[in-house]
Amino acid sequence: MKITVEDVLNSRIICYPFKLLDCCLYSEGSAALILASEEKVKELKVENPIWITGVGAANTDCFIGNREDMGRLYSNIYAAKKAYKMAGLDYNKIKSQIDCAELHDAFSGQEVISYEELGFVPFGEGGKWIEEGGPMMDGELPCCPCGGLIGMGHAVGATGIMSTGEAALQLRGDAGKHQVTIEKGRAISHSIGGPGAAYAAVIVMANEEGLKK
Amino acid sequence: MNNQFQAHEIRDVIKINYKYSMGGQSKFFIELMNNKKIFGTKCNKCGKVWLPPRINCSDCYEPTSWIEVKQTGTIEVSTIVWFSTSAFIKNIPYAIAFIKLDGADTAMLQGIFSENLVPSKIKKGKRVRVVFQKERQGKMTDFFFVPEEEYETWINKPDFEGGE
Repeated sequence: MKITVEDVLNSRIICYPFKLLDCCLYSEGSAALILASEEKVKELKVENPIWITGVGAANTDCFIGNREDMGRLYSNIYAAKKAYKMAGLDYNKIKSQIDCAELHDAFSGQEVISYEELGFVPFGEGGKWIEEGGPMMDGELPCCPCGGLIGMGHAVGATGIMSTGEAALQLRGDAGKHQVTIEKGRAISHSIGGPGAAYAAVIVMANEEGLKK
Repeated sequence: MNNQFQAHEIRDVIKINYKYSMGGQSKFFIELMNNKKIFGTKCNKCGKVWLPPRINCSDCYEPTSWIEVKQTGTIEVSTIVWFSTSAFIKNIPYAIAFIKLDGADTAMLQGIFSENLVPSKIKKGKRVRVVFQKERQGKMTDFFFVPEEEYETWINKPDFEGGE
C-alpha cells in the first residue's frame, strides 16, 4: 500500500501533533528467534549465523513527572552506549559503523527521538536528517527497512523480537524486497517499553564478515 | 441442516459498589476538597519537594513531611487529546500536560482547559494556574489548570472558583 505524506497529514488527529497514520496499529502477532551458543553453532555447522556482539538495557523513571527533561528518553542513550561498547563500537560514530537499524517506532515521533538518543544525529536534528533522506532505504543509514512498527503492526511483547529478527535477516541477505546493502556486516535492533517508555534495550549484531572487521 | 454454532447473547448489567483508600496520600485529597490547597511532600533528608506527594522520598527513601505549594506553575510537556475512552469523550478536544507547580521539584499530570485551545497556548514554558470545581469530592477531577491569562474568566464561571 502506497501512503503519501499528504495521506498522513490529512488523516484524523489522535493526539497533537500525531495523526492516525503517525500511529502504529496495536495488533496481535508473534515472532521467534533461535538462539544458540557459539559451541552449538559450530557443532551443528549452522550456515550464515548472525552473532550477537553487544547488548544493553536501561531504565529511567517510570513516572514522567520525575524526569529532569521530560521530552527526552535517557534510557535509550544508556542502553545504546552499553551495547555499542560491548560490541567495540563508538556512540559518536555509530552511524558509519552499521548497515541498518531496526528501531521502535510505535509513533512517528518515537523514531525521530531514537535517531537522536541512539547517537545517529545530534539532539534536535532527527527531523532534518529525514528531510535529507538519511534514514531512507538508499540513505546514509537505512532505518526500519521492514516498515517498522507502523508498517508491520505493533504486537506488544513480540515487536522487539520481530525487529531483532528483521535486522538478522538483513545481515544474512535474506530480507527479500526490503534488503538493504550490507557492507560493514553490522546492524542494531532497538526496543522500548513500560510506563512512559522508561525501559530501553539495544542489540548489536554482526554476520561472519562483520565479525572479522 | 446448518450446524454452524450460534451464540445467544443477553445484555445485562453488573453493579459493584466499592470504596478505596488514598492511604498515606489522603491529606492531599482532603486539603484539596476542604481548603482548596495543593499539598506536596518534602523529603526530610534531601529536601526535594514531590508532587504528586510521596510518603517516602523516591530518591533517598527517607520519610517526607507535608508542604503547601503554589497554585501557579509551568508546563513541561503537553498534548491535545482527540481520542479517548468513553469516560472523557465528551471533553475532547482537551489538553493534558505535565506541570511543575511553583515550589515543587517534580511535575504532575493534569488537564488544561482553555477558551481557545490551540497548541501554542500549552507549549513548554507556558504559565498556568489552578482552578477548582465549586462542588468537590476529594478527587483529581476537583481541579484543573487554565492559562494564567484566562484565570479571571474561568473563576467567574458558575461551576468554578479560584483558590485561597
